[in-house]
Amino acid sequence: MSGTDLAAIAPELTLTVTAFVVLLYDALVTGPSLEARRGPGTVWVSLLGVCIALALNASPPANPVAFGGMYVRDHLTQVVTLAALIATGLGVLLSPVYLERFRLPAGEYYALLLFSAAGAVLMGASRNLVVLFLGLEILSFPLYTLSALATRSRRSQEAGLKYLLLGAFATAFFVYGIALVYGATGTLDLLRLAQAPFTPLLGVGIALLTIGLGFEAALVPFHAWAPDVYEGAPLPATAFMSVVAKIGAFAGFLRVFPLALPSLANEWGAVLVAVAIATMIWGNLAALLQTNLKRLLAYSGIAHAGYLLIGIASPGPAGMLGVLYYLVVYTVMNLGAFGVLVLLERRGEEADEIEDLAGLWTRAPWAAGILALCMVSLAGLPPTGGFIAKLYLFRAALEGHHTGLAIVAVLTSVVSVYYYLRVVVAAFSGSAPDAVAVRRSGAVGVALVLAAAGVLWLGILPSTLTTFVQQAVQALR
Amino acid sequence: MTWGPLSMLVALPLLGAVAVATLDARAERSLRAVGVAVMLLVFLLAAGIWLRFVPGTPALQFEERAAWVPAVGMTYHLGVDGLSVSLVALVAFLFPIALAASGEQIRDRVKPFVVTLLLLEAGLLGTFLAQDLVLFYVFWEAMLIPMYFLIALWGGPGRGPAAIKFFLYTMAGSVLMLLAIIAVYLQSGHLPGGPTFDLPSLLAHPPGFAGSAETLLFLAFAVAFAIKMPVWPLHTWLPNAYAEAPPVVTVLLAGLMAKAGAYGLLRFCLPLFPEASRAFGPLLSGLAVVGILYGGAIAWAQRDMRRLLAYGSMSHMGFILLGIFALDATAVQGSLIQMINHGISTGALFIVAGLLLDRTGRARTEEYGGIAALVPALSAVTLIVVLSSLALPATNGFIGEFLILLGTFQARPAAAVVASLGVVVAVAYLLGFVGRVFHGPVREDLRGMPDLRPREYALFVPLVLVILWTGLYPQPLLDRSAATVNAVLGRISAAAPRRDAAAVRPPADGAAHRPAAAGQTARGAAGTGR
Repeated sequence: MSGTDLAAIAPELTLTVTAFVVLLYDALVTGPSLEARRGPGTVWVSLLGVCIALALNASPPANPVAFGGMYVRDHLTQVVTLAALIATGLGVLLSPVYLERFRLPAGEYYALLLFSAAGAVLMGASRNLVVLFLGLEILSFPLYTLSALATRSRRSQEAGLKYLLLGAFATAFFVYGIALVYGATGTLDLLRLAQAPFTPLLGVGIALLTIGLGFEAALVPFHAWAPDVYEGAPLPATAFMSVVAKIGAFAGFLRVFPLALPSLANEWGAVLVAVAIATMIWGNLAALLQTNLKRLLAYSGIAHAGYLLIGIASPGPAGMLGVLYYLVVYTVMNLGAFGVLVLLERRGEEADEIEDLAGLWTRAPWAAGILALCMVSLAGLPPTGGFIAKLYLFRAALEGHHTGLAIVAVLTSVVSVYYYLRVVVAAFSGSAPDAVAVRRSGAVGVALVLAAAGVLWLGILPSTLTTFVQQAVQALR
Repeated sequence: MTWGPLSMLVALPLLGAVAVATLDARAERSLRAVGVAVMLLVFLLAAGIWLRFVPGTPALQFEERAAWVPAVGMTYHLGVDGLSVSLVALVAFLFPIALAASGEQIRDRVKPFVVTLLLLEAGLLGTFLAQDLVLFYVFWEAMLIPMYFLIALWGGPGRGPAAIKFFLYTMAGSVLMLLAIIAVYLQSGHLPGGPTFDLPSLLAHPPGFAGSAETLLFLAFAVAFAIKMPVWPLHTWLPNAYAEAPPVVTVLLAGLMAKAGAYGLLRFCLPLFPEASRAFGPLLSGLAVVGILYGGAIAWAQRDMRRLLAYGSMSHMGFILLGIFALDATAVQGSLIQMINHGISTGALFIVAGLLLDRTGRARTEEYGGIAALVPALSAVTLIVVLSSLALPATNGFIGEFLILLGTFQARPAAAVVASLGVVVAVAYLLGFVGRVFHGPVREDLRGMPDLRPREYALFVPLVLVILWTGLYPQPLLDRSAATVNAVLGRISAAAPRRDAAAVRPPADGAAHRPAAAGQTARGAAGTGR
């Protein structure tokens, strides 16, 4: 390990160091009690760490390849890092009001958030299957713990256990896939993998890798954990996990499929197209039936994984551009939608039913407006970032001659409008139920404004990010 | 970045929406006043653009063009030409009237209502101004969202299903159009600046689609627009949406949104896919005729006031479609005029329906009777509007339908003959409506019904003035559209030699003394309306 190596991993390093500082600071301040105290010190330290990491991410290191070619901090890594850091920053802002209300341990919470983000970044930076695996584990273990963090809630305990067991199972597939790929090609280096001839053994290995990543991304048929875990986990943790797991998983997909295995586009394209179609259809149809907002957003997240997979299944720069743009947009719009829910409370519990939103606009008009904006964006309607992101993916599908895939994608988008707009109509009609209270929180307010601004900015002035992402894609070729 | 009058036109309602959003929600009167004031400002701007528009050239005017997302060939490109300049003025004209008429109907959630209405106005104006395919699609979908909420939040008892049906129907059509837009873009790689969504650039260098591809792309565009108009048999969302929306919203739905569909056909389908437009001309003309008669017949049988007007509106939209796909300059000119007329007349009819509903709460025509004696002014206004709607000479409706039938008769005589029956049916259902509601024995329980209030006079005065002005002196409207219509049809006749023109344009008995297609398009516009 040399100085240049450390310079390359500066953002991950910052996140990890910040996580330790948060843990130690919290231990010093709270003493033996595990519960959050007044005083937002941990929040400020976490935000500071995220901001430093953002600044470090802005300029690429002089020597992007580090650790003997196992790690690379190129433009793609920068975009993935950006998305993960936005997710972490917004996730941190959404949390304090919730942690105080439910007396969850703040130090551990923020530290886990930061660790998990570092894992997602590492997945985006991997040039070697072992690094990819390390990233996956660093990403998912904190998420298991976050799901179970509400120790007084049976729902949360159940979610954590379910996530851990199924996640471990999927990870085992992933490791076995790595072993088979190594057996077939004699290398774990993703660049050298690109030159390897196709053998059945390699095919099986790739299939197992797909299962591991597909689990993390919640693709059908590896999605069954998502609704239960989303529903049970503490709300801000759900919000964070819903985006960061997708960022990591799709960064992994990008590193493995279009970059390392372009020669397999024909064999794997068809499988990925089939998975994408199944995911979009199942996620959207199941979301239609939900009355619980967390479950609804879980199925919506599954559906969005299907849309993202379009970009992986369509070879070429257009698909990668679409995926990267979509990841950033998905981060802001999904966290914006969850952020409004964090404000609601029903008799000391989470208020996560659609009916709890009734009359929201009379109590918190701006929150209701931002909820509407984020839902419109999730539905992929202009003038929001969700539309531009979908436009790029549809373009990729048509350019790759996946017309059927594109048609399924647009028609399922129409279906999705139904359940997203139902949520908005609920928030703008009826009278507010007495049992539901709307909390005020400056931090959540800041997060909501940032998310709304991001959704609009990415939808109305998409040029800046598009150009940046396109450079990232072109630099890879 | 240019910041011209057209950008102002879109930005003003948006700024107005932000301004209204920051006001106190309880100050309902001032919320409405600010909304109307912003809309009047937009109207003044649009009227200025309409007056300063230079007729006689098909070129875009007041053009604004800036890079939007150069990396993927998307441009921020606004402009008006003969197809859109009068429609833009119509949008700006109807919105303040609709908001001013909403006083009795919209009593709760006034602030979100005004904000939504302003967002809708921005979306509609942008739809008529955008010259880039993606930009157009952005506005096209963006106007759908406010309209959905207007129906779903302020509509009648069946608003939920009506709104979602409206939204899913129209969106299912538009997403396929989005794919077609992307496909057109992917075909344009040969353009000097790389693939682009910019419509004028695409038209300057036609992508040249294979036959079957052109058919599919044409259909994807045409179905999206046909749903919006709506064209039979894609109309089934219409009666519910029109009847459940608050009447002032129906004014906008029927008066303006339906026009966006017809405009889309003229702006995109005809110039981008000239061959397919020729090939599908007879079919679409046939659907138009079916729509005219079907809508008219159902309207005749309706006893629900708003459903009657809804089907009547659909019947009249059939004339517009007929005129467009006659592919004849006179008929297309007539369609453009008729789009304005239909917006004014149908808008006014739904305002009348709204006033009646506000006063009595009765939705069905047989629950009224003889109110002409009780509300003479309202009944006089209604009669003028109805007469214009059924195309009495000296009103605007006559000019439009006459030009459409005249032009269609030259191109597709059979369709014109059958369609002219629709005029008769319109007389039946509209006069039936007037007869049942305003005439006959006076219903005692309706005594005390107030006549037009001064504020309501103010709504109808501009509408009636436009009805008479267009009916007596339509030349300014025709002048503005003539050159563009000729240019659009010129593209179609230029595409003709590639196919046997006679096969798609059935020779009529008048074919012998008819000039060649290209000459005719030039003559048609110049010779009409004198």
